[in-house]
Amino acid sequence: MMTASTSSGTEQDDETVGAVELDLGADVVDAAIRLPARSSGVAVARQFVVGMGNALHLDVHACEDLKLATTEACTNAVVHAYPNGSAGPMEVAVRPGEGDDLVVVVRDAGMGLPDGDPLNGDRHGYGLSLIEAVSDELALGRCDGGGTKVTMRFRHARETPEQPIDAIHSPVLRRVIAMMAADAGFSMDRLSDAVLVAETLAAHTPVFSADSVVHVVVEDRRDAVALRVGPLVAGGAADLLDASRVPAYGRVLEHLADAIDTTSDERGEYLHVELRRRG
Amino acid sequence: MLSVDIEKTNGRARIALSGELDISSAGRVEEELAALQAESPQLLVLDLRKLDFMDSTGLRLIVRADEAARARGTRFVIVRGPEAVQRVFEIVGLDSRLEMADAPPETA
Repeated sequence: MMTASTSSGTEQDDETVGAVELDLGADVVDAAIRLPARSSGVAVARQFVVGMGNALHLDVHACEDLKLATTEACTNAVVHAYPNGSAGPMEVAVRPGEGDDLVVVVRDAGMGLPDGDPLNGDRHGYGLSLIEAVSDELALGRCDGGGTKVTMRFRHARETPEQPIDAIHSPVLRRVIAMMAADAGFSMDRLSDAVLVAETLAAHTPVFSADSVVHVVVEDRRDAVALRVGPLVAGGAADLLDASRVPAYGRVLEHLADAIDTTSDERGEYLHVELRRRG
Repeated sequence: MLSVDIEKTNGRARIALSGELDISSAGRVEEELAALQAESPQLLVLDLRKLDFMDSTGLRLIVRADEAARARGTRFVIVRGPEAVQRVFEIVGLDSRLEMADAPPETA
């Protein structure tokens, strides 16, 4: 006689990701993400590098390499950098290397490498072995002022596709914002709203940025995702809203957001857009 | 984001993962595996066919589960995942040390 029982469920991490800062430069390969070194942030960092991989038209294998190496380096920061339990910052930066190399640098501001025992606590050394296997060069170092820096080089990973800059920012913003919205429990419909907001920001923010870099802070709250875009030039927040206008539909950002606000400081204006989970 | 699906029949247990297995989801999988192992099934199947991503945290938990199964006399079988998952086993040479199959075994 057979007895059967089935249970299933989806991972619901109680922990939020926190504030994720994205800096997307005017070059194809010049982008960074900063976020709290928490378990839930590792998947966000992974989406960031996959977005970069998409922007660079990397093939599926090269994308998998980036994902795995970045995950291992970030996991190391989460586990080892801040032993007292406070989630300090970690950063993943993607930069051009020599020729068409791609360089990914993962750093934290934690306690640094134990002498002669890099990336340890990784009992079987799997993490380091995986990075070494999928990257072409791995360097471990110490950041100025403490913290660990993991530099990973990927040969011939960088093409320089001829495409408008918004086409480069779009996959990164889309993936990171969608990941955060999924974490906040958005339905599929609301998730596509979040993706539309990401695409709208990617398309129009570069024009109104105060320093030609697109700065976006994405924060997941219990039932919402809050975006802060800027610093923008004076009047940039209103112009950015206006630029999102679609004929017969109005300003897309206003239509999709639950709350919109503008603030400013000495660096410029900021547009705040909040998307709530809804139904 | 990871989904865990568990099925138990007489003496057999199957745990199927879909999505991404990393540090944020490993703890939950480890708990589910430990709960299944505690019942000392003849056969424990870890089905990775729908898993999109796995890292070293996933590897370590699988190695620990394999050790625990050996200690209890449970046969522990891993149903192979997609290429992105399998190559993680291959890089560290674990693909030959663990019992792997393309589908869940018919009998314990």
